[in-house]
Amino acid sequence: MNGNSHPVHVAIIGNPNVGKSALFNSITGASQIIGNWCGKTTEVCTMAVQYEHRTIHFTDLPGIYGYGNHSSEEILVNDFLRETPSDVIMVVIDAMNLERGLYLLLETLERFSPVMVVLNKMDTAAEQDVVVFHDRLETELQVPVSPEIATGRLNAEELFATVLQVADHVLPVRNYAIRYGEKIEKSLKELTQSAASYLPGSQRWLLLKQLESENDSMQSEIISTRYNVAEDIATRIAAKRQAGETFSDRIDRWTLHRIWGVPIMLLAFGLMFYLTFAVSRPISEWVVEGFDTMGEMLGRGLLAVNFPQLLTNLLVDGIMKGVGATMGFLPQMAVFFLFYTLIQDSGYLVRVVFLADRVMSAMGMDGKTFLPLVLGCSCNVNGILASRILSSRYDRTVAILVSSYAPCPARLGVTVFLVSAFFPSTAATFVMLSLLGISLCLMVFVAYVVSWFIPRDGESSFLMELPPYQRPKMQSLAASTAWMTLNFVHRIRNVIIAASIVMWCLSNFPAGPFDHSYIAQIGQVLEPVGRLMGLNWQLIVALLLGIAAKESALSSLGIIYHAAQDSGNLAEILLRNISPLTAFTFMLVYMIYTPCVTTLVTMYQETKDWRIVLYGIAGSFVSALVLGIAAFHLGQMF
Amino acid sequence: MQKDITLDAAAMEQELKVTEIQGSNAQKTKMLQMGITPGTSVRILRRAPMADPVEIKVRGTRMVLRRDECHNIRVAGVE
Repeated sequence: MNGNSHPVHVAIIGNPNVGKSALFNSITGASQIIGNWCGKTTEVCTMAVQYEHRTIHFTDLPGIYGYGNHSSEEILVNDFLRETPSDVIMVVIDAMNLERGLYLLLETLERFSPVMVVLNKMDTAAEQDVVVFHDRLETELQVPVSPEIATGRLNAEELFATVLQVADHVLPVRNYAIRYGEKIEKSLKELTQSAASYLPGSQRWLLLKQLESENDSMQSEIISTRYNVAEDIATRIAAKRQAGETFSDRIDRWTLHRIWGVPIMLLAFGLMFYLTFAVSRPISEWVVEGFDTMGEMLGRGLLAVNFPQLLTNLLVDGIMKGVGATMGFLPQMAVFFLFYTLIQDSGYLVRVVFLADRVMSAMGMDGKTFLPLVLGCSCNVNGILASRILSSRYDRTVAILVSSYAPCPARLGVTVFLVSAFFPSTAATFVMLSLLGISLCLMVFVAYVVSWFIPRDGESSFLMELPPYQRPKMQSLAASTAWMTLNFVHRIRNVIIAASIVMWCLSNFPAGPFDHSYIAQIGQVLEPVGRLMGLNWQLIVALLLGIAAKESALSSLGIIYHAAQDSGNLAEILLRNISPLTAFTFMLVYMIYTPCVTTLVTMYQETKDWRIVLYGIAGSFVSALVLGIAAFHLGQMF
Repeated sequence: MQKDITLDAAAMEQELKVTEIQGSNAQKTKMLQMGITPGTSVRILRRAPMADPVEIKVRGTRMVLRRDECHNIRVAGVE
């Protein structure tokens, strides 16, 4: 080292799905989520490491195929590279997908200096009998090449040493240029002469971009020439034994089968749902009971030290119960995060999109929206978080809004209870199916309506790679599941506590019978609206309390109708108090009227746009009102 | 060389060569950058249920794209 001490900035660039984020994680020790998906890294992530008394900042950029300025990823990368000068550009190349990686490397070399290369997934390549000679690439292009296995063990020290050498120009730097066809070289020369006066330095790449944007046939020729060079280099640096059908291809014969593909997919999702609930339900019960016990103990302890009764009640019945109810969903979410990561890391996600795209696009949605919608049925929050896989802003917004209508278990739990209380078994099945059917139709309708309010950002392009299946790494699975779960808790904790306090205060003030509490008063004020749908104020209060947590409607109804004091159970009391038609309207409204607070907060955090949340709330209120009124009046006719 | 056809009209498992990429600027740039360049070999491997999207093999890797995107790729059969 030459005693240099200034910090070094490294920008990591590569095609989607080459293992950039995995590499980034093993270098920096962070656990940014690894995904077998294009457009996963939606935010730019920078981490610093210390090596030999120097600070090296690594920035993980979204995956791109070239420096066009069309996709949101390309625009983000271009903006970042323009605004944040980097000392080293690190290009990550997948050994199994050399030509595309080399294409990006060639364009990077034309644009930047100094550049270094990390050759990734050498282990997968070796398994497929592909040998890549990294030293040949080094001599071929005169750039340092580090062979790495990102998800496995990594020699970080060696990599850091190379980074510093490159940054300090210890290694010779060569300006790389491809010779294009005569016509292009001639145009370049002309442009250089006229541009020399105002363009800084050697701006061959900029001029190439100018030619590309001005002339379609030149763009095609420039990119083709670059690809030909990439192809040429690839054949020289890699030895490939002619591979037959790989294991991955054999799996796809079934999973992408014209007839069996879809049933297998549905079966896989069904199994996933089943396992999620089978594994998480007992744990959820422990968690809720644990919070209850802790609450009771806290209550007794506080009263023993003469803590004010009112505050104790707030802490125990308000906060501890509210937080406990939400935490009860956590085991289920953790298991779901695990499956979600598994689908993503294994590469099955792209297959799901392939199978579902035709049906989804018939409904005005992108094929990728299928996953958020399915996951939304486990919990709307999961669906909204999964909407990240969509790169276009329009498609993401659609996915987020639509998945907030998905019938989640909290809604279904309440509905199933009421349906079985009010209808005999055959009718109950029919009612349940009609409620689900209405929800699904509404989801399609919402996707359609969104296009009136939010402009589409350009046409959506579907083209993507279908990477081979990957064996998921246990460590990375565990890490991302833990990260997603903790992150979720971190993001919602304040809102849940606040919502619990507000709901408790509304239900307990002014002191006295529940009928006079603020929440009951609000319900009574809103009763005229409810009457349109045949709902009395008690049911409106249950709806209001349901905003904090959807599953709470039953316990609220219990309190409102004084289930505890009365002789019968909740089902009998409800049967005495409301008609089956009212019950149906209530359930319909309950399925639609608004997502819960946690979902709304997640909606905001994923979009950073209050308007979207307001659209979501307004849309669901209006649809609930319209459908509720329609159901009540139609029902009265029979 | 046979007469050009668009990729959506091509038969399965037939060895083809890309002759031209059409379509909007954004779509065209993406296809070219992902390696679907004139002169490249391409083969249709599979169609999804209801024949859309389509899976193709390009540059030794598998890719998927919609039928209307295939319509913008002109190809010719290889003898």
